[in-house]
Amino acid sequence: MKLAAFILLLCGIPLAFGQSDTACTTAFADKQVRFVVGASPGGGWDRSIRALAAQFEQESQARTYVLNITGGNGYLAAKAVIDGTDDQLTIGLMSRELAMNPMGTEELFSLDAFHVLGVLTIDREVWIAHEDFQWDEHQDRSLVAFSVDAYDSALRFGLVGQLLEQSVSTVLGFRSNSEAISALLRGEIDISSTSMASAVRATAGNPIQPLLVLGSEPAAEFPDTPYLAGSGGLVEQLTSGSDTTTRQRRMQMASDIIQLTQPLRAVYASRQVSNETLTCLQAHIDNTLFSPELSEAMARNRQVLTPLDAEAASARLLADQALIEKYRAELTTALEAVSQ
Amino acid sequence: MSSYIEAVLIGINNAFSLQGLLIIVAGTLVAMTTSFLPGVGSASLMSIVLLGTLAWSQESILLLFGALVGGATFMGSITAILFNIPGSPPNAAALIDGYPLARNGFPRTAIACAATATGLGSIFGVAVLLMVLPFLNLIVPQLGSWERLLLGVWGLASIVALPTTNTFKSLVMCALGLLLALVGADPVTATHRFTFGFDGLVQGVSTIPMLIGLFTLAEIVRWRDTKHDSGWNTEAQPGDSTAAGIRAVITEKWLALRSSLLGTVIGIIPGIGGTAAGFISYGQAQAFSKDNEQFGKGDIRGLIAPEAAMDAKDGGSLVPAIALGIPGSEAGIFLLTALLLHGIVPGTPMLSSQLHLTTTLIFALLISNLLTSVLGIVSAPQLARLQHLPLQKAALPLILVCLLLVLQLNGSVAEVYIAIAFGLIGYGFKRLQWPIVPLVIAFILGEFLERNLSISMRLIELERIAPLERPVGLVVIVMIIASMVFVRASPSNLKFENRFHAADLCVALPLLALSSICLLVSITESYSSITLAVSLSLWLCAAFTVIQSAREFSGADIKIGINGVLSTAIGNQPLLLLAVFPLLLWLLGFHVAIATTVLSLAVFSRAMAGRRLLLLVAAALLSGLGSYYIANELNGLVIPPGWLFSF
Repeated sequence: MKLAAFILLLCGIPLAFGQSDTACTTAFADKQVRFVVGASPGGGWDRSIRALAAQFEQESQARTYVLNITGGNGYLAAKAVIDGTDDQLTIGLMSRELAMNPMGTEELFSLDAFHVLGVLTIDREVWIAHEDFQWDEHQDRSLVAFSVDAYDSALRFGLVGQLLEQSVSTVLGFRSNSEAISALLRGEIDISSTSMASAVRATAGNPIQPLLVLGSEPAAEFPDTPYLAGSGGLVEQLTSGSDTTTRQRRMQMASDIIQLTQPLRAVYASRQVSNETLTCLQAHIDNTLFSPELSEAMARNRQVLTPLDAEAASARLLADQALIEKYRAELTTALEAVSQ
Repeated sequence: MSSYIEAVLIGINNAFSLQGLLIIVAGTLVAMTTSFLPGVGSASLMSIVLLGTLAWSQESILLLFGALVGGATFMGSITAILFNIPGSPPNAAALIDGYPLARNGFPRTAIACAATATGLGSIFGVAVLLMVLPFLNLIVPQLGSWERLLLGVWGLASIVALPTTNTFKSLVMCALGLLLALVGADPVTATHRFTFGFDGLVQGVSTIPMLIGLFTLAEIVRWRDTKHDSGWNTEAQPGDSTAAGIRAVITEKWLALRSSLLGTVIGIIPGIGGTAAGFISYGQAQAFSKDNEQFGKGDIRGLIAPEAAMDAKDGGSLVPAIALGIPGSEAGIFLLTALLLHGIVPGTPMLSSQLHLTTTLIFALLISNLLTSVLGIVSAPQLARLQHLPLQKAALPLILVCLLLVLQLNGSVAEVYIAIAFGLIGYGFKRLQWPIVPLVIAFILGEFLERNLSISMRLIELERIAPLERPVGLVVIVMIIASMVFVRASPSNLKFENRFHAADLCVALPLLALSSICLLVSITESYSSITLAVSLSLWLCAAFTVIQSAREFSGADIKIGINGVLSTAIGNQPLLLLAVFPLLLWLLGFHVAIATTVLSLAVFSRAMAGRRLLLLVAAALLSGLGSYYIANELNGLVIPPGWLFSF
């Protein structure tokens, strides 16, 4: 009897899993899933979501299509994700900033409005400038930087500028990284901040130099470029004459800012999606995110897949949210400074 | 240069592959057939095709749209020549001398001449485009936000300055287009503007439903008003032959080449479009001909010039569309929408990493243009029989199909309401001769202009750009002034009378009310200065129009107006359908509303004839179920039930 039960159990476990997979595949075979991104076609975000959607289609057998909903700095895309239902299943690839509403803007959303399904990539941020740019020539005047939105201005330029004792003014409204690079080449702006993957591409074919890696150690891609935090970082060098408390506080702030500035592309769905659909969706997304095919597809786009499952992704986002709360006052002050 | 040659070879390979040729031939034939139906036009066709090809690959969509752009232009001229009805607005210039030629017994000559001239024009336009293409990638990165802003302004200024439309009405429509573009989230700050609490407006006014409404629904409703004159002399005169038409173009080769050059240049200027190309080249042909007494009475030169220019402009108009994302014509609006929907970015990528897609589009356009010319010569007499198609019977089913297509785009009932609203508004604009194209071009350019204005202002504030010290910007300013002078001073015997009528109050008063509300909201909600400026501009334009129109107004106009509206509404079933459908949609839901509409229209039109009611009920049920199957089953959408079924 025990043997029979054991055999049944042995057979039952894979059967149950197999049935679940089959049920999910059947459920999704008729579905049309919309992948939404708040960026123009052709850029890094667009390439990421197209790779994700294509692999998801392979995994789930669902029909997928990508919708680029630009405008409102991604707000409109986020709204489309929130409005998704079982019948209009919508998956969004968005930055954490969009889902968290870090500046507390009344019209934006909060993390509670989304199911976090996972993380596709976590990268490092790099400041880039024209190859003729010299730090020394800008000691006494404000640097002009391109920035995506108010929070981006405050965090990537305002707070980093404070740590470096360098004033920065930002210009909002550029639509893509390539527009910002063109502006750098025309001399309209001094610096721009971008992901490591984009920085590598930008410096390869243009007279562009990496200026500062927002990391706590030298980057393998740009070993000679200064970095912000950690031992040997610019903040440590700048605070060498300060008292221990001040130094520790600034070093900690630099470390926290690095975490917050890491470009993080997370995968979201609406809270309106039913639990039944969500279970299948989560299974398909997990299979997609951790598939070698997606990794290869991303590599062809010169992007590195750094997946996190839903649990790890949620934990990371909550930790980032706590950091934003910690620096809320500094962010507000920094925003005023960069808007001058 | 090697990458350019490689891209050209890929483009040739894509266009001349079996699949490529099939798509081009099919697209060209569809475009030829639909543009042959008076009033349908390329814009209506493209708006429908746009919805049905969302799953197509990038190469296929470019091949198809290249074919549609190429196929539509020429066949619209055939209707102008044979019936005095241009297939689409750009073909209007062809009727001035083309129709008299056909009436005088030379229809074959006229058609062959038009086909040969368009073939020559299209080869010229594409050749210029291919020559310019390698240099665009050097120029585009030099265009900063300031220069882009000026180029956008150039597009608007050009279309306002056109001599073939009422300048002030064009200006009002531009202001209205810009205001509509402001609806929704601010592109920089994400502030909600002019949404008035409606969630559906947060994403802005949906482009495709708006285009379907303004171009397709409005046009279908207008079929009812169009008088088809088919009383021409069918007896061919001696000497009327295809060869005579071809010979005429060869004899007037310099005129054809000059017109092609003019068409290409006009196409490159953002925003002007084919209508201007046709009329301006017609004007120059007339002005530079010594013996021009026969112009307007059937002079073949008056046909060669607009035909060569119209097709040459297709190549030219791709330059601003590809390089900057600025539509150069009505077709360009749809082409750009299709590009963005399929992940193709106008601008630097289309000139570098995606150059092969650009060349694919160009070669599709070339093949399509040549194919239309050949087919036009061969099959025009047979196609002429389409004149007897019962267009008005097709109007109602076409409206319902359009609404279903809009619904299946996003499964949003709100977008159906938007399409209907713009259909009714567009019909009103057309009836009162208010130009729609400036509105749409301003709407498409709105976000582009706002963003570049915002960046430019900030860069000027930070002393990073000095507008008067930027040579490219200064060149663009000179080009704006020169093109406006050129367009206004060009000889054209069809300059529009710039005056208002009492009927214009029907447009001006609602616009004044709308702009007053927007102005008030802009001030109270502290919207950006750009929003305030656009609202104020529209308010000033609308107020001026009200004053001008009111001068022409007399008490009798009210009675005439009411009678006119009533007779139009009662006699025009498509118009009635558009007016009543929103109510049915709200009350019954989409599918039941479709079934009810079919039933009531069938009963209304056939009850008198004593047809069987059972058959009509079956047709209605079939329509409702068909609509349900397409939306709910095929596309997996769930359409909300109407108010009546929500209890």
